[in-house]
Amino acid sequence: MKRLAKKVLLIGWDAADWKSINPLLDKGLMPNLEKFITGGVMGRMATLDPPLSPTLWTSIATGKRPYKHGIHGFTEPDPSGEGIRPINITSRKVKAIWNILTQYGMKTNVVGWWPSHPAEPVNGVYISDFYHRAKGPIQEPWPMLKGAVHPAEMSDLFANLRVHPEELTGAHILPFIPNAEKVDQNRDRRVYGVAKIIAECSTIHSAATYIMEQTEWDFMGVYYDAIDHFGHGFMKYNPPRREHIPLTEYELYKDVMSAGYRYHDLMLGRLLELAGEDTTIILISDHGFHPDHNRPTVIPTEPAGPAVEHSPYGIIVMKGPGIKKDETIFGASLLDITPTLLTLFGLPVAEDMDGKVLVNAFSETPEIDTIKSWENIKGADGTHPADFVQTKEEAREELQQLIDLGYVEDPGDNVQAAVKNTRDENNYYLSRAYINGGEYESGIKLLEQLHAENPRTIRYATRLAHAYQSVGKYKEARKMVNHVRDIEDRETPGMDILEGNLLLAEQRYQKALELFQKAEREGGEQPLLHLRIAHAYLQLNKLQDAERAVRKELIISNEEVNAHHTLGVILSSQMRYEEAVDAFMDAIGLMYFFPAAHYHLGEALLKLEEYEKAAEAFDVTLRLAPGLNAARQQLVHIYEDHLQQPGAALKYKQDFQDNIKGTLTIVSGLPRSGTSMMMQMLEAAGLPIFTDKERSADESNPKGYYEHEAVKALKRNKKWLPEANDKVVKVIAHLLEYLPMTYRYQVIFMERDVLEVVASQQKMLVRDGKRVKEDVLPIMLVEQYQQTLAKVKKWAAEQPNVEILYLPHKEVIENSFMQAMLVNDFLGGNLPVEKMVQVVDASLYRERGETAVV
Amino acid sequence: MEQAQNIVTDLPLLRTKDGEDFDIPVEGSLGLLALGYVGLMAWRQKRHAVMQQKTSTNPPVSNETPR
Repeated sequence: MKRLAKKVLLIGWDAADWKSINPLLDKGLMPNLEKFITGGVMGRMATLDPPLSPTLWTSIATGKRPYKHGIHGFTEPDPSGEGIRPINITSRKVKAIWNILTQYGMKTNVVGWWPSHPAEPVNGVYISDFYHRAKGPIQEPWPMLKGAVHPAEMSDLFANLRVHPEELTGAHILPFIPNAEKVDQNRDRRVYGVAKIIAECSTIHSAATYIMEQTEWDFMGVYYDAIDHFGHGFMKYNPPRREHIPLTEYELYKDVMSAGYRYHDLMLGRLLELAGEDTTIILISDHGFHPDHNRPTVIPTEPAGPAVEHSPYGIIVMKGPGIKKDETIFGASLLDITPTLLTLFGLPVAEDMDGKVLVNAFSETPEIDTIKSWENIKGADGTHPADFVQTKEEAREELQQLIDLGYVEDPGDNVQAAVKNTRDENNYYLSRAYINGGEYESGIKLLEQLHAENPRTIRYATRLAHAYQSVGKYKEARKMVNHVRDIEDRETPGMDILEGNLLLAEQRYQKALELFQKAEREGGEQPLLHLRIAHAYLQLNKLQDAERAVRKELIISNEEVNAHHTLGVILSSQMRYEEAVDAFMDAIGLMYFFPAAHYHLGEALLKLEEYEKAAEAFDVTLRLAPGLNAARQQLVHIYEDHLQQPGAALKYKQDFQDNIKGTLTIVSGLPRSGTSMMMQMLEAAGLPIFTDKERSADESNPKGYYEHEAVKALKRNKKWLPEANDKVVKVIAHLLEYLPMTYRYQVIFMERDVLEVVASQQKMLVRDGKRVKEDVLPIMLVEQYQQTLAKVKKWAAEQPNVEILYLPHKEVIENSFMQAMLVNDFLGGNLPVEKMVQVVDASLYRERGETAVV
Repeated sequence: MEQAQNIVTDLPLLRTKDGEDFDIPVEGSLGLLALGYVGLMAWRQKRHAVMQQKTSTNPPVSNETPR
């Protein structure tokens, strides 16, 4: 592979956010960044959950999610067992980019990355994240922690490059706090806090500029944490002032954030100058930071509580030889940085990395090579040796220094409790990382353990309720929601929203709506609440109310991607396709990697008879979600029926078949049309059944229901499909249309006279003690069922991945053998028909046409 | 420590964009810090020089009784 970059400079600005930067760019207050952007590409960078900087910066440096790299929080139990300490680099389980480059003999420098202590013995200079912290008065000794610098012989040099906060003068502080002289510093330590942040980031910058100018290098990674620190301390004072912020404090501290960004722009200018034109430069942040009305007014009192101030999108700017100029890139994730760096250096991307190469940043599509993993490649990689351990004394000494520095709290006498809390906290973050990566089972397992050990910790129970809901375990989710209500000593809007979400998933839309509206009345404006209300209205088919609600959400946050998308769906449902197209385009403009938005855009364009544009939208959908056969089917339809390009249609038809992941046998029909009987017949034939046996047999279905809870949530949850592959699944007629096109379905559809079906359902409801008038036929229901059956027939005829066998219920009972033969033929001809017939019990055919109550 | 001393003595002269000598303010500036180690060291040098100048023009007052 060809090396595309001579040198790469990777700059990290923790928490930098375009929403803060753009107004400063508009006023010409960040000229270096402006020049940098104009000469390269820019975009938003999606973060991960949990949005905690040590885990995120490690994902950036490894291209892997936290459950692979092993860094889960801010602190960890100290190996000495005598307390907790800030997270150490020795807890990282995989190679970082600088280790891979070291293996290839490249000169690699790292400054201040979080976490990076003790400094790794890379082929270059490595300054750890314990290097720049200042402590004590300036007259007192300021020793540097052992292991902060590699090579160790450069320690004195770098110690001298540190800036102490007390060195700073009004010339440094006044741009941040113009009226600093009005602050009584004996009572208000915020001026010193600003000085400390300036000093610490200047220390990092001082070391970085020295290394850049005085050493040869191929890769240089430098990380500045100051914007995040300024944010947590002072974003609350950023204009515009909110009502709860005292005017005097606002006037004193309102300039801190903008000054912080401007200082970073000055430092950036120097870095760009030192890097030179032939260096590829990448500027990134790990997440954003709400600068506007989305700033929280209350910070949760939990260890990582301040993370609620973070927003889900960071920034990326990239410039250099072979990189496009003055363009916006879409769909970047922080997991993409390491794969992109490897490609720039002409090295293969590992298949066990979770990110992708940012190909849309390159002028010409780069050649991308892959290897299985970098972890098994032997050689000196600059990681610490496997037997690297601190002695108990070293660990204790380090811990004490960190306590002195204010990094960690003194665990006091209750060390064991501190260790347990830290372990629990990190497991909580790990569970969130699993869930964020789609590894629900592992995430739920951890949360269940945490909940069992800490049943009164609300955030564990709440997160577990969400996780259960995500995998369609609604009963468990309900239990957890009730538990949260039991342990909370008062009702809160948050609890109503939690339960409302579950009700939405359970398809109890009216009740969900009522709870959301209660939360709004009692809790006021809350992020995403109006979007939830819109979803409930949408499901209730109250489209105008849904539109009103989603537009309210967009007033609160015009950058809420899902709100734009939902608005598009609502407008499409009202056949206002042109407006829907605009809404989908707005969603895509904010987040390009959004396959559903592209798909729905294609549907709206199709309705507008914009066939070429629709084809383009479906094509993009497939590039983003290659397994989405629904988009292929749309393309087949467009190319065959509208654009008269049978060749193009054929290609998508073939791709459609290539993307089929498996086959499911589906037994379907209206409820009470003999589906359980057919399931029983197929079980008797020896076919594997997909059921959780949650719903036990009763008088209405004495031989059982053969259902699975997850299937009932098919509309929202399709994660169970791989597990059901090659099995028989019962899916009621109403849900068939939600089966994804990535599987082939052999559907046995039970047809029964609709009047009989309704009569049987009425009897069943009576048996279950429900209040229905047994002697009144609900005509509306009969009509609805007839419409559903017509819809199923249309659907089945249009789906290239569906074969359907319609079986009359009456015939199955009265001519079992013949019908079982038909099923046998349909399913391939190897079933023991006689066994299937034996399970048919004609006595259960109780509501025959002539006796059905009218 | 020798290397650290060298940084100070080997510093290039700071000049403005027009090539003029840059008069480093003794109180420092964000611009100097943004220059990185070069700016930091130049500022410290300036402080040191001013301090020395002050010390030489105003010798420390002795508490000893004049003889």
